[in-house]
Amino acid sequence: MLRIIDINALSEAQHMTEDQIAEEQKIVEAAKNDARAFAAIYDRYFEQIFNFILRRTDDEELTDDLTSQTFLKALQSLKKYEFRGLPFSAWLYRIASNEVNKHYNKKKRKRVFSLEEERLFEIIETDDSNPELDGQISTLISTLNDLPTDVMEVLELRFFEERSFKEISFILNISESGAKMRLYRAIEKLKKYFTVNWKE
Amino acid sequence: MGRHEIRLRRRKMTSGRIEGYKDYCDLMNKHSRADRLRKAYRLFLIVLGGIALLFFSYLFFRSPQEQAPTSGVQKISRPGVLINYSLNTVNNGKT
Repeated sequence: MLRIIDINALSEAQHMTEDQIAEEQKIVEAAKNDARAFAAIYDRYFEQIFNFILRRTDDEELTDDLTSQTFLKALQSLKKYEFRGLPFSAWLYRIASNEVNKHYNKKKRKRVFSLEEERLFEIIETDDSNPELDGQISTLISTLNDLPTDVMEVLELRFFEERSFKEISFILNISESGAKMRLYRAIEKLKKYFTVNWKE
Repeated sequence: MGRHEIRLRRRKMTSGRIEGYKDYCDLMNKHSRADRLRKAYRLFLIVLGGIALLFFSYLFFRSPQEQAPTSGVQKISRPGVLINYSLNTVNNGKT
């Protein structure tokens, strides 16, 4: 049976409308003057940031600590935040990514990407009766393991966090073309073992 | 670039479970504490700066009298002998 990966089955990057971004900016400006107004931002993005950090650590207790650290840093540096036409979540993701990196640098451990099985099944086109499913999953994981970490970061942000390339370039502090190039390298590597359906 | 490990997670993290980790009160308490520490540190630096400024101002502006040595008749002494001298302005030493 052909091994097919259908990336189109995953959601496209989430885009906020300009009105939504402008509305969010008002909340951020209010929070700069009164920290209590930050509660709205905390409620809105806690789940996203928690899931992102959990995908990078695979440890709930650690995720709890790092998420708390992320929001604390965001609150303390809020006055320095400058609007760049991106959702506020991009800044939170950047802080979260830095906190995760700091943790791994301190502990000198191998980085982890913890992906939901359910999500992987969304992209591997197959049926339940496929006896080769376990083998295909193993091949996919092995291929993803072989990717450089910086490429895997972009792939995870694009398809699991559903961030746009503009946000990814801000979060990882790389150029937009650099982010696209890393993703294309990942797709090319996957194409060695799978038929990849992907429309960018 | 370094390598990593891919792990498959069977158990999905639900919104309900994530909600259990939210603690906004704790976040505000930590923020207030950090804010207080930052203000205390700033105050300490200002006080230290003020004291340093006062000290250097004192050194720079203290009166000349405090700085000059004492003048007048000098007494020169040798063990057992005490000689007082003063300027002869009467005949400039001509005898």
